[in-house]
Amino acid sequence: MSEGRRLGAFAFHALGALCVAGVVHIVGVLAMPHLAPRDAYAQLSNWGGVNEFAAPPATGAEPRFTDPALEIVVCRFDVSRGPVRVSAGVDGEHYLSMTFQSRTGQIFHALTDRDALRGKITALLARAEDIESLEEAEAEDGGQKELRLTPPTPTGLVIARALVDAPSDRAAAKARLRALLCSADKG
Amino acid sequence: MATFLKLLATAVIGVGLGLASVYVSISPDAGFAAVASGAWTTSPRRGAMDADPYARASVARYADLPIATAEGLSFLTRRDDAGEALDARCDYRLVGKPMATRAWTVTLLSADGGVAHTEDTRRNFTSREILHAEDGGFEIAVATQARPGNWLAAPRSGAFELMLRLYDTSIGANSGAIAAAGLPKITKGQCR
Repeated sequence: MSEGRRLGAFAFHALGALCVAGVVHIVGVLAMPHLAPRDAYAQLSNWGGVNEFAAPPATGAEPRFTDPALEIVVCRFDVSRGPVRVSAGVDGEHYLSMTFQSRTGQIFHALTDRDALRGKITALLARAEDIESLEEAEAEDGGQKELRLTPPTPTGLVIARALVDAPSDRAAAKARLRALLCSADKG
Repeated sequence: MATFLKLLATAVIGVGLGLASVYVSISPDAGFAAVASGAWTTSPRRGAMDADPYARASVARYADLPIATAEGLSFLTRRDDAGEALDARCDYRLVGKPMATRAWTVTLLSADGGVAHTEDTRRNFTSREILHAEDGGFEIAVATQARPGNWLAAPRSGAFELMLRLYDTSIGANSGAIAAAGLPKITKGQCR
């Protein structure tokens, strides 16, 4: 084989390897949220049941970059068998926030106590068809306006955080979180 | 046969390179558009509803629960304002002024973002509990040895990180707004 042909063959294979590497890179990055075995959802699965807020177990490693000034509870929701309602009463003084994220970690809504209406945060999580049938039923009797969200995946997390202003406020912050509700909607 | 083996080798090398590049690019704070101000860096995209694929992959891999930009902003630093790594052998002063936020916290973390083991049980300060100057400014001493005033204990040795969180902030998640936000300055004092 001449020197030129050998170089050509090498270039061909090198280019081929780069193309394969590029495709693997893109697929790998895009697939990571779906494949990561120890993502937040998996790690939180021992906190509590489905469709209820649960506090972290007393023992167990803290997630990285945890702010010790936050108390946190998490609801693993599942809307595949019907809507799930999340509600919280707020006092307008203490910071309370909620992140709504899908099974793959995509945040699809977030709010703080400043978004509360008349001292209350309520959100209904439901599949698109459940929301449609709700709205059809309501079209007849006027209906009430509330925050309605369709998660990108049927399961996911609602993460609620309460700020502990000072160490003496920790028990009160925990109590504020205990009052939160995440439950299958009874209609 | 030789051709087949060559193609197979090409494919294997390609897959290997691809996986290695995924591993390298999904760093703990991956995500496009990290924004820096002084020593502080934030990756607001990690908490954005339209987070980029690298940020989402990193969040999944490291099991993070990022706060959304609607809830607040989260800044991290491993360096002082002069760009030198935070080192437990040195004392640091964190000097700040009031920021456009409802509440903030400063937390000391170990070099890998976990709980730092220090002489003191205090790991953080919140804006509500800290001792303020008359003009609303504040100063936190970060040192291994106890200090009067606001003192955050550094670990006995090694590197550490500082995290600044702004909750319910009106500071926008863009570089202009963050540069103008007046985040606390970190200066190094004496070293042993």
